[in-house]
Amino acid sequence: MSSASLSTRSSTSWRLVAYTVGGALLLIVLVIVTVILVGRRNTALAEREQVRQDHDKIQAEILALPALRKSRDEIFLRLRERTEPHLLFHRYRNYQLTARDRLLPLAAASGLRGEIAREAAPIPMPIAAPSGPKKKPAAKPRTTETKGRATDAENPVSLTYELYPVTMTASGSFAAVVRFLRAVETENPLVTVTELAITSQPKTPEEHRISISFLWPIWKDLDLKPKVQDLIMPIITFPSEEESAEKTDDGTDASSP
Amino acid sequence: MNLHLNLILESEKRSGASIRVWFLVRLVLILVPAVLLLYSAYLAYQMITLRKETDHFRELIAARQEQMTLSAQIAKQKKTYEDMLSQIHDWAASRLPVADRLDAFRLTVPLDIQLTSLRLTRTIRYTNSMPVAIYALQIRGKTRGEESELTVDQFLTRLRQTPGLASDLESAQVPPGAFLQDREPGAHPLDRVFLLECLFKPLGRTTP
Repeated sequence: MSSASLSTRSSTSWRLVAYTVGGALLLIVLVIVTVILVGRRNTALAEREQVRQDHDKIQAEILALPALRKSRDEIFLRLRERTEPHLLFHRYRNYQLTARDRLLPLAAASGLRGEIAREAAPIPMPIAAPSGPKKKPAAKPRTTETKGRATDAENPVSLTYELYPVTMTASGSFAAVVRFLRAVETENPLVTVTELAITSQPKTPEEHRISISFLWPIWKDLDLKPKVQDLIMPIITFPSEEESAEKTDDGTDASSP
Repeated sequence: MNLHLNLILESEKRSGASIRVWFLVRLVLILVPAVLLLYSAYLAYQMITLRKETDHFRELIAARQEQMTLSAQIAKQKKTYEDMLSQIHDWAASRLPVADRLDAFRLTVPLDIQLTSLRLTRTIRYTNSMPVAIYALQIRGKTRGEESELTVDQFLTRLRQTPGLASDLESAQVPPGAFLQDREPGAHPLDRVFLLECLFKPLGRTTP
């Protein structure tokens, strides 16, 4: 065997080894690059899908905007129809005068001679707890509306309405009381009798002493009353639940008229 | 006798296979990286396209921001009005039509009974975190005669059976010890006074 042929064989095998190692390294690098690119492509794909879904959702919301506006307007009209003629409005922040003007003519027409007691402070209107987990358990199961504040801090109260207590003392017959109450209840579906006492007087059997307590819903804050302007520019702020809870907890609600 | 003479050197020996290993190695070293390079280029192109699409969608979303805000405000406003309406409906649903009940009650009183006082009270009780109204009626009256107990029983029976009243009543009873002799000065020995308590069924929404 010649030395030239030995050298050729040796260089051929070194070249083969070098090619193989170099090729393998290149292959590894390319595989790593490909894996990284696949990962990034998948991330970009997921991101595109997410943004596309958001866009589709927004597009659907925008398409539903006229229908949403229409249903909002319908509810607004129903609310106005329900509250406008029936909630008690104050005259120079005096509800007693308005209550008097609305109740006493009905009483007189029914045959009752009565008077409305002086101005009283509105009490909170109890409402159903919002669905979901309760923050605090109810401490007292029962409350009497006519005696002071109506609800415990644990029981939710309306942020929109309050109840104005109207106490009327009168004298008249049982039939006159029924006539008067029928007139009040027919005229206003929101005024509620919370206490009624009829006591007979031995000297005048046809004339009884009558005491009637009503609760009449009022707007807690007149700014919350739905207005037509709100439909055009629907930028309205309502007191948050937290604010309300704080107010009722320490009993310093300053929004009473 | 055969003589086998091997004149080929070891290095001159060639494989009988049609594909040589060296050829295969070279093929793999060229083909696989080429495929990987092509695939990487395709991935890079895809990424650029996806990013462009994402940016496009983001621009569209940004352009609709104002309408989205308006939609959110209207939805919030609608929810607020619904809550307001629901609260006022619940309030109205917890009202007892007192005039109708008193009218029905008037027909139940027997002629032998004289009512001295009537008191109706309303309390709020929470059922399933829903406020429901409970109305209670307290009636005080007088009757005379040896059969006055029967008269009161008759009154109670009528109360429980009168249409327009019976369906709303949860209970009606003379509590123990509430049927007594009248101790008022000048009262007849057969005069009796009684107290009758009626409880109305809860009024209002009880399910959320």
